[in-house]
Parts: sequence; C-alpha cells; structure tokens
Amino acid sequence: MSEYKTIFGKAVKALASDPTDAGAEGQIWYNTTTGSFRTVLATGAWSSGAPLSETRSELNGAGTQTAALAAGGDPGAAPAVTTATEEYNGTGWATGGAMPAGKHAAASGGTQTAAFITGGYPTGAANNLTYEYDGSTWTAGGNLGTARRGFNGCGILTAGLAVGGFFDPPGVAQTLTEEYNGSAWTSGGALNTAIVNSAVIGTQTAGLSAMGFSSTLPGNVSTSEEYNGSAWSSGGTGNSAKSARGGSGLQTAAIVFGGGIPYVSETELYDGSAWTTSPASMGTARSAFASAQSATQPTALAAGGATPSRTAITEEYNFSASVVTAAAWSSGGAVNTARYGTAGAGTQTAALIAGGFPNPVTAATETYDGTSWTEVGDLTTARMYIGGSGTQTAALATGGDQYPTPRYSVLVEEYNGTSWSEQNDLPTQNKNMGTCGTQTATLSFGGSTPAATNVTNLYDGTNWTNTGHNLNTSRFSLRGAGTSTAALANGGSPVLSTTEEYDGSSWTSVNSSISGFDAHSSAGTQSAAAMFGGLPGPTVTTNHYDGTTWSSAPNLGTGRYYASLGPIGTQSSALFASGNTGTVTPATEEFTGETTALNYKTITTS
Amino acid sequence: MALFIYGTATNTGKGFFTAEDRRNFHLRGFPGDVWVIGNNEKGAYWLAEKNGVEKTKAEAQAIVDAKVAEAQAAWDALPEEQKTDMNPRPTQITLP
Repeated sequence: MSEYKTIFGKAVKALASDPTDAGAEGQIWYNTTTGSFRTVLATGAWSSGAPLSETRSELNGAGTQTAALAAGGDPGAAPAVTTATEEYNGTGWATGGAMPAGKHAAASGGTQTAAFITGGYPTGAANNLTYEYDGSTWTAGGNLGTARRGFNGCGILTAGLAVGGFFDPPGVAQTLTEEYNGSAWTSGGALNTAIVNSAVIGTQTAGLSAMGFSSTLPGNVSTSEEYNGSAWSSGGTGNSAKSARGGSGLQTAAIVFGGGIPYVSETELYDGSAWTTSPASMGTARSAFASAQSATQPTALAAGGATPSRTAITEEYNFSASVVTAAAWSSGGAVNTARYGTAGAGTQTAALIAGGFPNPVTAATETYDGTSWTEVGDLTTARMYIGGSGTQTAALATGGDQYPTPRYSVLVEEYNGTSWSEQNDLPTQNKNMGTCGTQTATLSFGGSTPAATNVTNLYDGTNWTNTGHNLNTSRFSLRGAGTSTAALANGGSPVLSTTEEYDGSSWTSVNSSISGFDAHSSAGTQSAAAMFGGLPGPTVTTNHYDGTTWSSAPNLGTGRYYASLGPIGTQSSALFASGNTGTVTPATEEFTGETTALNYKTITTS
Repeated sequence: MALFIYGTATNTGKGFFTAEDRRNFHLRGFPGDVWVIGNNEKGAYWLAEKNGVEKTKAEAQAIVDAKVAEAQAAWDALPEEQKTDMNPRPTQITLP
C-alpha cells in the first residue's frame, strides 16, 4: 500500500483544530481533537439571498451574481406588467431606474451597468422594442428585426444574442437568432429546432441554447444547440426536458436550473459535450425567473419567477470551498408582558425594553440575555411610544404618551442596570420620535408634539438642548440608528421611505429606503443600518442601508408594528421584540447576518 | 402540488423557528397562531415537530379572520382618545 507521504511528499499534519484559511482546500490533516482525518472540498450549492422587493415572474436578468439586474416581469396584479428594475450587489436588491414601458417574457443580456432588454410584451402582441441600461437609466436602443416574446438572450450590450421565441400571431416557436451590436439587430444563423424559452448562455460567438419548449415537437425538450457566431450545431442532450430555465456560465462550462412545467429545482451542468445532474438543487422549484450570467465559472443567481404563484425569492449558486450560510430572522425568547410602543436599547444578547401599551400603559421593564427576558425595575412613570437609546445597563427613555394624560410627555429617565431615575425634561413634549446614541449622548429627532415635528434635541447626560438642526421632513413614527454625531433617520407616518443623515451639524436627505416604513423598528449605525417591520400590513419587510444604498434583506417571520422604539443591536445582529400584529404579541425575533465558512469534510473509508 | 401548508402552532419562543428553518422553507406567522409554511419536506416536518395542526387554507383564513374581527371589536370599544393614527384599527389580512 502506498503511503500518503510517498504520494504527496509530505506527512499528514496533526492539528488540534481545523485550519481556517482558504489554502486548506484539497489538503488533508488529522484533527487530534475529533480524532478524524479532515479536508476541505469545493462543492456546488444553492443558498438563499435577499428577496426581490417586487414579486413577479417572466422578468429578465443581466449581470453577475454580485452585480445583477432584474427588470420588468409580470407582478400578477393589473396591469400585469411592471417597469420596475432592481439591482443586486450580492447581498440585497436596491431600486434601479424604471424602464420606459413595462415588458415581460423578453430577452436580455449584458452587465448591471450596460444591459439590454428586447422584445417581449406589455400586453397583447409581442413588440420589437429594445431598451438599454447604463446603471441608472433605460433608453431606447435599436429595434429587433422581428417582434417576439418567450425567448432569452446572452452576451453583452455591444455583442448580444436573442434566440428563438414566439411570433404574435400565431404563437408558433421560431428558429430566429438576432445579433446586437449596441445599436442595431441583424440576423444570425437559424436554430436547427424552433424553440421557446430556452436557457441562453455564453457569448455572441460562443453561445448555448439549452432545453426549452418547441411547438414543432411534443412540448418541452432536453436538447441543446451551440452557436459559433454564424451557425447553430447540436450540443449534448440534457437530463430534464423543461422550459423557462435559468442559465449561467460558458458554452463549455454551463449551468441550467429550475424550469417547468411541472416546476423543478434541478440543476444540470454542461462541459461542452455532456450534461450531468448536479446534486445541488434550488431551494424553491420554479420557472420564468431572472438569472444572472457568469463569464468565469458557474456561479448563478435566480430571482423571482413562478412556483406557480409569483415569488420574490432569490437564490445563489456557488461552486466553492466555502459554505455560505444566508442571513435570516429566527424566533427569540418571548417577553413576559406583551406590549407595543416600548423604549428599546442595547444589543441582541443584552437588550432592554421599557413601558408600552398592554392596556393600560405599563412601567414594566425587561432585559434580554439572548435567550430569555427577565423583569427588572419599572420606569418611574408608565407610558408608551417612548424613545429608547443606550445600552442594557445605561439606557435612556425619552418622552412618550402617559395615557390617559398627558398624551405627550416631557419625561426623561435613565436606567443604571438596576433602576430608573427621572432626569431633566425634554425642551418640549414629544412621543413616537426617532432616537439613537448613548445614555450620555442621545439624539431625539422628529416625533409628535402632537403636530409632526422636525426638531432635533441632544441630551448630554444632564441637559437637553434644541440643536436647531431640524430634519428636512417633519414626521413621527420614524426610527433612528447610529450615534448623536452620525445618525440616520428613516421612514415615518404615513408610510414614508424618506431618509436623512445627520453629521452633528445638519440633516441631509439621502437615498430613500426601498420600502416605506411607519411604526417600524431599527438597528445598527448610520453606515450599516437595518429597518424592519411596521406598517403597512403589518409588514415583514427588512431593508438594509450601507451608508449610500438601500437593499432588501430577509423578511421577518411575523409582521408587527410598534415593536421597540430605539435601535437594538446591529445590522447583522438585530432584535425585534414584542409589538402589535393586530393583537399584541410577546414574540421576539433575532436577525443573524450571512456567514461564510470552509466546507470541511471528514474522510471515511466507506 | 400546493405551494403552502397552512397550520396552527403556538410560538414557544427561542428555537420555535430557527434561521436554518427560515432558509429551508417559507414561513410567515399571522394572528391566531396561524403559520403559512413552504410546502416541502422540511416545512411539513417543522409543523409536525411543533405539535402544529394542519389546516386547509380556508380554515386558516377563518382563524385569522376571527382574530382580526376580535381585534377590530376590541379597537372599536376603545375610548375615542385611544383611536389615534398611532393605534390604527386592525385591517383584514388575506393569506397567500
């Protein structure tokens, strides 16, 4: 028997723990703690990503997995076509420029900042209109030679391909191929088999059309064809006859996935001659979704589609030595007194809520250790809609509603980890404001006095000062994140997406959140913030902010409004405590951000 | 195959649904301890493991409707000064 040292030139290392650097891929070591031989293997796997903001099917995609575009589609509700464009950064979707007119079942290609979408239809018959995207705006491009729908494209803006599709009328599959040079479409070689909704992959001179629906054959086919820039030739036959699949990669290293009907989650890989079914399946079987292309290796993206219900679900495929664990909300410990409109402070594993409305208003305070809530010292004055800030052991409760009277409070209390004590009053009565910062540097902005206000007050641990730095938009039910000198204000009544940043001297209007928020909750900092829940609905929506751009993030399990006022935790480790679903709930949810770890395998003899 | 399973299950707090559950199947909670669950093997197992009771969509909708109606009646009975725009009347919820 050969020894490893003879084959590899080195002995197997004995390590107390698994190495964490990527260089461990393909290496073998003996883990002395677990008593096993270990290695790191690259495998293909699908993982969930943040959902699209707009649920839809028959939408089009472009770009790559970490810089993708999703445009148009059928949202289901009248007029059953959308102009919406969303941009994916590998983490979440942000709003892009709207198309001049909605379309679905079109063909597309290119990158996130240089894309084309052509053909398809808004309603009725297919058209030949092409739109080009520059990363912010869609403009008209050259018209297709033949108007059609139910087809796909590949390539780049200046060297694109559109393959197959339906004429209208009569709705019969076609062999047409057209090539785009960034300004005009010209005829390319005809497919050998007329096809609709095939997965189209690769480049204008090395393209692949895989599977699809052929009206000249009995339904879906598993065949593929390869394009060399002038003519199509037969490629390998796949394992699953489906149409409206997603595709990515190259003519010689392709991946196709999903499709229907029936809706499947299967993934197939192509090496330029033969198809193999991957052990990796999509989490959600579907067809007619947006997929992004990869020019280097088979990474892929699937967003939206039909299941058959329309969906906003996003999934990512990676062939990697790393395992990506997607972000998600999970259930936390239930609070002892279900309520809404509480002050919130602290972190996910050291949080505090105080006050709120379980009818009547309560002074109850509870702390969370990441597992369970414990009742601690009460507020000196029961109230609701209180601004919260600080930490679990050094919190501040600002203003509120002392129902039955006064409905707008000037009261301020500090918590020292054991008990609350009343401090100097707010300059003016206020409730349901945005708050952030520490116990000795809290910023309070906006709120209801009862009129919606834009005033910003600063607490220095002793006194409040009206900074004179007013919000640009007066509002209440807004929420904050960050510090007293780097704050973020988002949302407000009635369901606003308005966002402003504060630098210690003024508020500046910045990009609006993707979703409107009202009576929601928050976490994080000015440059890494999270907003979630609230009205309308109540909603399960979560949006993340990176200091410039908003993106969608995984949804809450249960939508509710008026959970805690005042940020708790960070963008990647947030807490959503109690609140109102229509009925008051004690439920808590915890957000865990995306993590990446090496794909360790234990080597066995079997 | 139906897209969702409908059921009732009592949220027992920490661990009732995990981040892995959320990655494995669609899950959304509604009033009345109603849960709409992605119809796959893991989703079905989750409901069973939580001692949940599977319902038809119509049954689940009826439970939600009853809870919303109850909440609306409670809201209607509130003193007028509590019926503010910060305490909106619960609205009808339609299950997906």
